[in-house]
This record gives sequence, C-alpha cells and structure tokens, in this order.
Amino acid sequence: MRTDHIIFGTVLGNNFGAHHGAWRMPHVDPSSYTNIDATLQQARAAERGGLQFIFLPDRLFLHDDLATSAPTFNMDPIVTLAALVHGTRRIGLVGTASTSFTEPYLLARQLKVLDVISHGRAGWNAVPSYEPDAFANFGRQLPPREKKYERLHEAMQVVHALWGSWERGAGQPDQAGMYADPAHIRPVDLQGRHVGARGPLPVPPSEQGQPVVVMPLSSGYGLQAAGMYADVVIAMPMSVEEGRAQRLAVREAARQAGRGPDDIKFVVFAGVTVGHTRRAALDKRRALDDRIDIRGPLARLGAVLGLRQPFERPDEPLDSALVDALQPRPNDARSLRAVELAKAGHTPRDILAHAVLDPYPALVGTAEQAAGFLQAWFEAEAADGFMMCFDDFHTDIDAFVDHVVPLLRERGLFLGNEQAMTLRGNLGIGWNPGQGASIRTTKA
Amino acid sequence: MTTKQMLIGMGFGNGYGSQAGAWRWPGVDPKAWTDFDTLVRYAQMAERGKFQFLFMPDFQSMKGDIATDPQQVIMEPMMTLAAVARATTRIGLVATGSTTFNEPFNLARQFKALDLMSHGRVGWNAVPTSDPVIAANYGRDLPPRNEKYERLHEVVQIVQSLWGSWEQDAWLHDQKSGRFADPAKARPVNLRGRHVASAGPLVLPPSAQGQPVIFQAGGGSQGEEVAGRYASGVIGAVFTIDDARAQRLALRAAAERAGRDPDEIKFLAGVMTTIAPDRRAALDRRIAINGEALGQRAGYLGQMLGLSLTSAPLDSPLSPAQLAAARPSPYDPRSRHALKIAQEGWTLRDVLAHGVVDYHPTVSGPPVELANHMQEWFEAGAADGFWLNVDVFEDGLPPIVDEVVPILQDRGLFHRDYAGSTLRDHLGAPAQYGRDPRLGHEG
Repeated sequence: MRTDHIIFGTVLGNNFGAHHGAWRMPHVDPSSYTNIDATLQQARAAERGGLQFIFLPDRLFLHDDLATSAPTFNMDPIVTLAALVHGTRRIGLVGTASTSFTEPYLLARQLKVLDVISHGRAGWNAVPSYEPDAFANFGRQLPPREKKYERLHEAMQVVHALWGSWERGAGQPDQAGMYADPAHIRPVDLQGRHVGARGPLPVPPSEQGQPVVVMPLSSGYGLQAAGMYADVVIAMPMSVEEGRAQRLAVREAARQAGRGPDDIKFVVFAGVTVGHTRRAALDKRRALDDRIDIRGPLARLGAVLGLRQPFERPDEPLDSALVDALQPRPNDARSLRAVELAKAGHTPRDILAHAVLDPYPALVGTAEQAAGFLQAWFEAEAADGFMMCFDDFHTDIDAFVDHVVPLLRERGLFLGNEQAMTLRGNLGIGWNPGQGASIRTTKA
Repeated sequence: MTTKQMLIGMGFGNGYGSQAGAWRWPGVDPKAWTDFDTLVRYAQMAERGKFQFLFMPDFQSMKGDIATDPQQVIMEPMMTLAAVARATTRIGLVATGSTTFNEPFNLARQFKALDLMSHGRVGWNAVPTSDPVIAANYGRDLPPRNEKYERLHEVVQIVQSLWGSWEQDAWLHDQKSGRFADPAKARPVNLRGRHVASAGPLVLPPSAQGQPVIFQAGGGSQGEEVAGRYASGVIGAVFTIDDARAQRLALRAAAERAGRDPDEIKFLAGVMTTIAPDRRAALDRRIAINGEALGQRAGYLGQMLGLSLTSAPLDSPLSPAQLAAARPSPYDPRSRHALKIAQEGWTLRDVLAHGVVDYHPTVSGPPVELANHMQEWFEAGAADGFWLNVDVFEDGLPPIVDEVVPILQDRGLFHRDYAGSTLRDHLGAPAQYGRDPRLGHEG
C-alpha cells in the first residue's frame, strides 16, 4: 500500500549547497553563509514549486574542513526557521534539534511557538546526539548507547506532554468572557531520570495542533523510538531494494507501537541535477567539481571500483582491459553504478559527475530522467517521498521546480503544498493529541 | 563627548500591553499574543519613534489566572526576536535568556545567529532564574543563590568566549583561491567551570557589531557585580529619583571596580505610561483598562501604608483619620509616593489608578507629562534612559511616538534619528569580541 502522492522536502543549511564547491561558483555571493535573505530566497523557490517542506539539518560541532568549504550547518535551525516564517506562507519548516542537550521545556516551547507563528507549518527533526565532539560542546561525556535513547524517550514524552498541556478545548480569548479555560490547561508532572517538567506550557495549539515529528532511521532502539513518536522517518537507502526494506521496517515499527502503518511517512534522501541534456547536467556537476580538490573523490572512486592505483588520466576512459576486469562490490549500489559507468566508457571525472559517490541516490540528467528516477522509487514503494539534496541552492532548486516538478504533476504523482494550510495536512497525516505523551514504558 | 541624550527602550511584553486588562481594550485584537504580525507592527512603531531597543522579559512557567488574564510575557523571546528582526532595520532587540537552566553553547549559538540575522542589533539580558515554579519546569529545585551567580559568571564567560572563537579575520571566503576560512583562527575554547563547560568553536563569524551586547537586571549586590563586569545596559526597577541615582552610581562604581569606563554602563529606569488629554482622562482610562482588578490592589496599598484597606469603599478618599494613621512602609519604596497621592484627596480607586501599586513609576496624563518626567529623571542623573511599559500598545504607543518623542527631541534630550546601525552604536558601547580583556578572569 502506498501513499497517494509524493512528498518533497528540500535540505537547506549553509546557503550554498550540498556540494563543497558551491560557494565558489561565480553566481554565488560567498558571504551568503550568514545571509538570511539567501535562505529565504531558497525557501521561497521551494515553496513556489509546491514542495511540502524545507529542512534544516544540524551538527553541534565543527566537522568540516573550514579551509576549503563552508560548514554544512551554521545558524541555529529553529531560530533560522522563525526568521523564515514571515516571508513564506505554505511551505513546512522542519528543523533539527538534538534531544540530548536542551531542556525539554525550552525545546517544546520554541518548537510550539514556531508552529503557532507559522500557523501550523513547523516540524522537528528529533535526533539523539552521539558524537563525542558534540558532547564536548556541552561539557559532557558520551553516554552509553542505551542511555542516549533513555534520554530521548524521556525528552520526547516530556515535549509531547507539554505540547498537549494546552488543549484546543481551552478556546480562544473572548474579550467578554475568558482568556482561556483553565480546565483545559493542565500540568504534566513528569519526572524521569534525566529530565522532567511540571508544566503546563503556556502556548496554545497551532492550526495543526503541534509540530510534526521527523526522526532519522536508525536500527534497534532508534527504530523503536521512531515507531512510537515519528510522523516522518528520513533515511538514506542506496537502492530501491534497500528503500523498500527500510520502509517496511518502519511501517512494522509503527504497528508494534500500536499505530497504523500509514501514520509514518518514509522519506528518502535523493539528489537531482538537471540539464537540457544529460551532458549539460554532467557539465553542471563538473563545474562544481572543478572548484574542489578532486583528488580525494578520485581516490575514493578508485577504491569503489576496486582499483589499487590512482587514475593516471582522469580525463580519459579507463583502459579496456582494466574495465573488463572490474567487479562491483557485492550489495553496494554505488559500486555497481560506478562499474556500469566505467564499462559505458565514461572518464573517471565524468563518472564522478554522475554523483556516484554522493551518500544518497542521485540522478544527473534531463528533467525526464530525473522525474523517471523519482517515479520509479515511489512506485516501487521504496519511498513515500524525497528529501532533496541540491548541490547548489542558488540554482538547483529553481531548476528542479521549473523542470522536474511539472512533469511529476502531469503524471498525477505530485499535488504540491496547496492541498492544505498546514504541514500536517500537506503530508497527509493526522494529529493524535495523546501521541507520544501517553507512552510511558521505555522498552530496553 | 557630544551633548548627552537619553536612551529610550520599550518593554515588549505580551503583545497587548503592560496592564493585565489590556487584552480586553476596544481596538485590541484579543489574539495578539499569538499573532506575530501584530507584534511586528508594534516593533515597527517603536522604531518609527527611534527607540534604541525593545526589551523582552521572559518567564518560563505559566503564571496568574489564565481565565481572566493572558501571560504577561511573550510566548518565547528568541522566536519573537527572529520575526521582529526581519521586519525592522535599526531598533535593538534585547531578549532575556536565563543562565540557570540553559546550556552556554545553545545560548551562544542562538544569540549570535540572531545577531547576524539582525545585522548587529541583539542584546542578551543575562539573568539567573529566581522562581521555583520555573525550576519545576526543568524537574529541578532552584539552586542556592551563590551557586546561581557562580554559574551565571561561568555561562557568560563561556558564551563570550564561544562568540569570539571564530576570530574576526578568520573568514576569508576567497572564491579564487578556494580558501573559505582560516582554521587556525577558529579554534576550540576548551573552558570548564564548576557548573558548565564547552569545547567550541562556534562556527559563526562576527556580526555587524561583533557579538551581542550584554544586559542585566535585578539581583541586588551580586547582580550589581554582574552588571559591573559585563553589562552595557541595566534594566532597572526603581520608584524614586534618589533610589535611581543611587543605583546608577553604584553600577558605575561596579563597572570601574571591574576595570571598565563607567560611561559604558547605561542604567535604564522603568516607566509605566498612560497617555490621555489630562490627568482625569488618564485615570479613567486606567480604571477602564483594569476593571475589577484595580480594586483588588487595595489590600497591597493598605500594606504599604500600614492601613487595612481591603474592604474600604473605592469611591471615597481616605478619611482624615486614615491619613493620620498612615505609616508608609520603610520596606516598600513606593509607599511615600502612594501616601502623597492619597493625601491629594483622590478616591481610593483613583489613588490605585495612579499606579501606586505598579512595578515602576506611572505617568498618567498628557504627552508633556511623560516628557517632563523623563527629563527630570535624566537631568537629575537618575538614569541614562528609560524603558517604557506602555499600558496598551494599540492606542497607547502611537501618542508616545507621535507626541512625546518630538517634545524630547525638540528639547535636545533625544536623538532625531539613529546615527549608527547596531545596538552597540545606539548604546555607545565599546567594541568587544570574545571576552573583555580588561576583566580579571579568575573564572
């Protein structure tokens, strides 16, 4: 059973793009990094195309090589989303916030207020942090894995309870009567080992009730938690088969948590670079690749192809004898694809330009090819939707919206964000006011 | 230095106004608390009046009787700042962020991000939490006072260090050479105190003002020390010129002790405003706004004067016997002023409508009265400026912007326009990036 129509989110972040060369493109202002106007412009491009939400990832420590590229994340996601509320009307605003460091009361408050001021467009990508460097930024040691999920469960339950503590039944302020009905605004009185809150949280429900919860796919404890709390699960399967399997696992996790399998939408990361021809699209990617040190990616490509030596001539097709001997790594979709491209006579640089090394499936080609790629995943039930990762936020969002989205609309696969006024509505998910808060047990 | 002029800020409370009954006032949208378009409109009005800053208090717990009154603070300060920053260009944006239950890394990142987005207009009112009901929302007890202040100092120092951890010239963004930034100039801070610690760095470049400015409020002698060390602005709550002057001088002395120039610390006295054509109209307005709630304050007034007034008739003045028996409380600085008003023969309701039981001096009358109050305090050295608590924003703010401000400008007491573009500029605060090198950092 599949969702009726494709869900699209798009990753934003450092105002440049997923590709480390994007900041050096001539049409990009390199100081965009701190420019909220650029973020807004990119969000509006996505909104124009009807995409259901924008997504701000996060990482609570410096991970990237500052010498050559912009950190993938910079401004605080929730604050950034608040700055985008006024300039957008329909697109959902999903931001990442760790469950590990912020007091649930403060998290619940910021997220719910974002939801209220955006009239029901907010979403929370709830992630437990696991990196030692992230914990060091809060002066703490990395906890054992099961404790990470212990705090996540407690934080999720407190946040959900606080969100629900001001019920719709409290009504609207009536100048001739009550401001709000206290019978429907009640304490939550939760206390766990890590966190707790008395409540209530004095923030009324939004048009969608409360923020949508997004969670990354994880195994074991993480999958169980997603089954309990998530409205959307985001994942990075590298093949249709992997996507199908993960999607089924998520639906099963929902069932285990006493929910309907359709209650959780499964959204996979994907990349698209569009050109009038495949060659034109490859050249777009090449232009970006020209602005980074390509030696690292070439070395990784060599490894993926099973070669032991660096490419001597990356701008020439591989030696035919070498090509005949190539064996893709088993169960490695990237390796399979790279070998295919090598056998088709592409040069190493062009193989890279096909985005084979991207950590998610990516299509570099025409709008038809891109639409076909997304359609195939969707119709194979490997995804309910896609989290788009564009190389260059300044150009690729518009290109996707102008050329690929219309094809999907024509094919009846995409309806856009005009279906409903809220994120929840545009994702086709309901609101269960008790969800998350009513679950008390933390299964070990 | 140029002729000294006063600073004016505005308390940006709950979207209705400073009076609990403001939400019922005709012309006020009762849903303004959740409607950011309204908040933005009021912020823009304040900017039209050339106010140097908006000040957002915070209280992380539900308070009061929600059946009759809204919350007195904004839903959430950082979200408000982000929205208002987009719709304004000059006015400073000062938000309260508690140092007690908040992580320095989160505070540092959110405040600096806002500072970047607003092009250098943000201030952080760094205060500890003092109410146990708030602590309960974190599942904790309130720490003892000394610990709270110890943590506050650690938090402020770590936050400022994180702000400075991406050095001012670290960001190269050189497209030709491909050098994005100099990693040697974005280094960890690796600070550890007794209560909090953080490694850093924080990957945010300097804002137009480098980093947010620090504000401070309350806290007695420990608060004074905090202000002396870090604050460019102090949000005051004082009722008399003498008290204000004493506090201002104490703050200046505290700044000097910390190694700073006393002119760097600006003391802002609170004023509650009601603008109307004359005193009678102003009192009637306050009576109408407050409704039943006004009479309920008779008990407080009684305590201030050593009288029992809970059942006293609201429509009569205090009797000669009551006035003779009145003893203004030495513990409540509002008491002498309250007695003076009562002695003028106003009815009890009118006495209360003068705002004698409010948190700051109340000026009720025509625009020139507010201008005179501010001038008197400013010229007496009682304050470097004021933060205004407007009774009802919708119709109480325009007369301040349109009538009070021009009076002060014509008298040369308030600027006609923003000379600079950042909050640091507006306050005349010196450049600072990272921690203040003049302070002795024992931690």
